[in-house]
Amino acid sequence: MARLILFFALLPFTCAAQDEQFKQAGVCARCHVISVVEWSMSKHRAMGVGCVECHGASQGHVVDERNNVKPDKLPREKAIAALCNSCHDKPRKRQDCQSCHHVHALVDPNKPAKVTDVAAAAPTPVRRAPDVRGLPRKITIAGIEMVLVEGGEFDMGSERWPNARPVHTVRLSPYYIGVAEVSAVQWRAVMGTDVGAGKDGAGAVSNVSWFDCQEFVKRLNAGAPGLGLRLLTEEEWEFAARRARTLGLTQMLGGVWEWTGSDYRPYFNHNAEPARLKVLRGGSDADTPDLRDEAFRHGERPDRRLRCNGLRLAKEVQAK
Amino acid sequence: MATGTLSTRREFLLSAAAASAASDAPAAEYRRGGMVYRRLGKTGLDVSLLSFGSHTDPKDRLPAGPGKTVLTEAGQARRDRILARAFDFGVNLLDVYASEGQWEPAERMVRDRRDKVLISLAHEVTPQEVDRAAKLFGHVDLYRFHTPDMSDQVLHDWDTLRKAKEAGKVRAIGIATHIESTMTRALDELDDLDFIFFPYNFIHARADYSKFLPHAVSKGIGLIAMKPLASGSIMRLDPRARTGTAPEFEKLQLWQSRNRPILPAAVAELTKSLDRMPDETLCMAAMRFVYAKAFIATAITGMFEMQLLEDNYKALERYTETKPVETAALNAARELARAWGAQWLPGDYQWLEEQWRG
Repeated sequence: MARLILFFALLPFTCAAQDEQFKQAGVCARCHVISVVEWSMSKHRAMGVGCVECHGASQGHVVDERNNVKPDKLPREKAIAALCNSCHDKPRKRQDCQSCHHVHALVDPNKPAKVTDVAAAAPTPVRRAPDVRGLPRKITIAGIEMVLVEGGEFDMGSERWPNARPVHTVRLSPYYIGVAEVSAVQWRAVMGTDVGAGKDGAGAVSNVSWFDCQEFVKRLNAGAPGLGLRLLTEEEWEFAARRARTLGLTQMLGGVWEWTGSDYRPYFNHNAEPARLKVLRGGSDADTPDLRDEAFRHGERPDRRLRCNGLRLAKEVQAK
Repeated sequence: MATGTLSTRREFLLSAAAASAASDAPAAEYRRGGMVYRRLGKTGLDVSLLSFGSHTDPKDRLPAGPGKTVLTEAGQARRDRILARAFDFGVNLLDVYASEGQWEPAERMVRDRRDKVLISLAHEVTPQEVDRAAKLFGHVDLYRFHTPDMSDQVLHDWDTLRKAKEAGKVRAIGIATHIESTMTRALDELDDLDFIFFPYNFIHARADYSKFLPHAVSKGIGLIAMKPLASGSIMRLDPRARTGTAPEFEKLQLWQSRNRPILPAAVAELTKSLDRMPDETLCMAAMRFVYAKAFIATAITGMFEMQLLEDNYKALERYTETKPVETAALNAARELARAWGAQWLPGDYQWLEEQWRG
């Protein structure tokens, strides 16, 4: 009962908290609500010791709905003391730390919670979104029309696709995004080469590798220093795709797959090896409609040119 | 020397098994009832050591459009009976060809045991067809395409399969090929490759698979032996084989033909070896040769007769090791097949003889 009261007492704080630890713990809280609430009132939380420090990245556990994969570290009994001693070098009076310290809250489980315990869970201030007032909503660079995306927070991912799990909160700064996919005409103007395109060459460019896209961006930026053109990150892509109609974007879903600048790896894969693949988003006209989804992710080798792969550009914003 | 070749293979087997043990792969094999199950590479799928092949009995086929056939009503009923018996034996991998009209009959057969049976398809790779298959079967467990090389089209098709896997429509993706250089290239060029179908039998367990197999084992690729009986041709080397247990058996039975190879020593050795294993056929020994290889997850073969299914099952029911008398019979049969050259194979596979032979 005391736990339940504590949970509701802390709920407003946990909802408001925006710092990185809370975001990370938020993934864990999808199932382990009580444990995360307990942790949120601990000094570990204040000291920046999160779930990962004691349980490992546990990426397999995070994406495993059936709980067949356990966390990387799940200390029990004496192993808890061993884990505590890996940071706390003071001599222990007892071998089992947990008899005097709750494993997550760290308070004495035999004593009632105090107001000061709750105070320890006070959230850090919410970061303010960069000011984009005064920035033009639409710009055109090298014939490429772009629109301002003001940034903000959104829930990225989807439970529908295995590689888009878990849904997690992402915060983005403002950026400009191409209204349309880069066309074959625009590609030819910069690169001087014809690659896959529509019948009249006016359609989106395709059959380009990620490295080709980097070269395209490099040449565009070389024409005007400080331009800040680049590929979208997959976070930026998904954020914009979910607002495509509002922003007036065309063919975010369908057209060609769009290369992003992001590495293709599972979400929350903190210990990943260097990724060999880059993320493509958006689906193409050749795919079945279900794959043209805001959250669906596809990875491909950066040197591979495939018929349905093209690009859309982004531009950095220097917020005030 | 044949014996020398076998010895080399045995050494390779040991090294492959050691490589497998050194990896993080889970327990490789277990037995349930009489059936042996092995893990298919890193897919997490456990497959029965004997799988049910996709080809239908040619003598029961009816044309059903360009490149397509269906089975006669009696032929379909017979196939369904054999398949049901295979499920009783614990066979849990069913390969299905759409071009032979088997998608719907297979779906009907597995509907009530879909969680126990793995569906394997070799079919046209378009997003629409993969989607159709996934909708029909709920999902597809293994999806592959056949390719002799690694062309641009292969990379496009592979991209389609990877998307289907990412979408959860297909659980494991792979290729089937008869060409070793293609197998080896596939290991390097196809991301997320889960399995490879490749020809493997006691005659075509070519020594120079040494390029491909260790690489595949180290990468945790599921290896599926196709043509463990060389499209039924091994049956034709067995003088005691019952007639009617292979297509065109009467016409192709080598021992009874007038063009018998002049290899009296091999013939005598084969006869002697077979006489020493009265309860076994040459096919059973040939299947056991494949079963005994720890790196093979499953041997997939077309079974048109109940007897052939029962023999294939009997060959693994109690043990999977090859006995010396079986090895002697296989060596003699290999010599005999070698004397025949490509002619011992069906016409459409004779071109592979040079590439396959170890």
